[in-house]
Amino acid sequence: MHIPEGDLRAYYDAELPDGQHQSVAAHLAQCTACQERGRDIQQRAWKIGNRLEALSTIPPAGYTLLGPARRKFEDQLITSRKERYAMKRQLNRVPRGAWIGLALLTVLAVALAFPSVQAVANSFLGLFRVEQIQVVDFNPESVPGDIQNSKQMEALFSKNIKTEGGGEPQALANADAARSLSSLPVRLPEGLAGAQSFSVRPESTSTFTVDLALLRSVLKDMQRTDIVLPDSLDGAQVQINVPTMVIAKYGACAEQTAAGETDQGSRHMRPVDCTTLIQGRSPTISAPPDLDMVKLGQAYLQLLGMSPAEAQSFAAQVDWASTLIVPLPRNEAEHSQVTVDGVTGTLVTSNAYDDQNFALLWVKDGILYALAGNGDSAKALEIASTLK
Amino acid sequence: MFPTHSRRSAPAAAPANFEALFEQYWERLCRAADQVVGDPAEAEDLALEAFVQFHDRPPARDENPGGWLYRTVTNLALNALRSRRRRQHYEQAAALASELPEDAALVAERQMERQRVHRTLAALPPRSAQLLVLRHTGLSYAEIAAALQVAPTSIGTLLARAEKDFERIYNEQD
Repeated sequence: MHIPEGDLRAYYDAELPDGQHQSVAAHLAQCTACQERGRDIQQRAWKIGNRLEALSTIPPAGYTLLGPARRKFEDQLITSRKERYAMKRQLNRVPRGAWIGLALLTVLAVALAFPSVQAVANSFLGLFRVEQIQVVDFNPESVPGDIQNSKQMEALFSKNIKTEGGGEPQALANADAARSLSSLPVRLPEGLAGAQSFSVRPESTSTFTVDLALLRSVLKDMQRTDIVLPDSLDGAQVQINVPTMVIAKYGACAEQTAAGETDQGSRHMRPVDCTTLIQGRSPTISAPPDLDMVKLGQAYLQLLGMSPAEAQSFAAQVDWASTLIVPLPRNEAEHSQVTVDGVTGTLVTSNAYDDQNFALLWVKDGILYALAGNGDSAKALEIASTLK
Repeated sequence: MFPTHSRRSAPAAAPANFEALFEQYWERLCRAADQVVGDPAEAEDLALEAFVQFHDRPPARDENPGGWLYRTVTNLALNALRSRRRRQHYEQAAALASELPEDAALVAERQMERQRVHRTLAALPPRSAQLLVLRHTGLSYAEIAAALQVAPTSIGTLLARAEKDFERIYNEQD
């Protein structure tokens, strides 16, 4: 019986409890195999320590003294709060259309980036289906604050997208009505206080025809002429089907304007103490298979702020046919992968406001779930664990 | 996509012992961040940012504040490292910081090594990179466990694994 690698590592760091340290030492004294493994571990740790040491450039005079550092901290605190407030106002001013556009571009980029598949009689195939979710930090600076003045952006999304179905959610009496209408095995959290409401967003199909000249104008408006779009994109038709979604709300979800909000440009409505669960089958995306569209996914990642090399590297890591890319404004939210409902999900916590908010996204048995509300990560996971 | 739910509430009050924590951890956080970015000025900015986050959004009461601070500053530093543009800045800053008249080839070699180590750290899973940085900063297994919110008895195994991954990725760049 040999010493586990973790114990060996801890032994050489003198981090084992006394009794365990002695028994490891006794074993090493008579086991050549463990001695050899121990030498490997020590050498590796030593080499890595030297390599990390090469990074540090501790200044000869040391770091800023405590007093001045404390003053720098106060300045940074004020600056940070001003930036957060300015960011809030800027994000609030980006019109809904632009965000929808960005979301659609997300879907478009993913759709058009999957590899060509064998053609069948019909020209449309190559289905995208969400199996996992990946978050990409989005740099709001890459979207100019005056984007709402872009006539090209407005034209791009008003003239080139045709949508059938969808519309405002329809209120329902109870969960059974939602199950019946959606044909989904609707699962709901338990133990949430407050009023409950259920609604269904009907299925919709959107067809987007790419007007390459207009798209290039939008990029020019966004000051992103460095992003190159292939000519073959022009006239491509992409169809996005979003199946019926069930929306369940718990708590005080009646929307009200935030107290003290005097900015008439802000349309930000703030429900209080509200938990929302949205569920539905995966959206599907169809596009002609003969388009060489991998580069479009990379172009989109560049739009989110990545360099060409980073975008190319990132694009190589994901399965574009099954991964939903979710852009999140940098500095506004943090994200991590968590285990939820027996699968790997994505947890986003917001620092955009003076309170904690979460969004938990996961896919299970072909159904996308999005759980959002007030609170920290522990609360998000606790609510998700009660789904039945 | 992100929820618009929010409550209007007063900013969270800073922890009562914030001053003492700032005094205790200021230089330690600078050093931890500097281990990653290799730029003292940037390291100080990252340490300040960690304190700002701690001040405005303090961790839960039962969480070790020092561990939280270490975890936050290494997260910030590793995130900064992953931004290619900032990494280039660090490389240039480090080259400029070398004020001694040294052999040009030696300087270039050191710069290449730093770039290689930076790339390796950026390519590691975030927790593994944090683990290596925190250990190299001089934290004990118990302190690392508090920072990363894992059991102290698992640190040996996690560290051995992280070191193997570092070695593999580092060597793949040959």
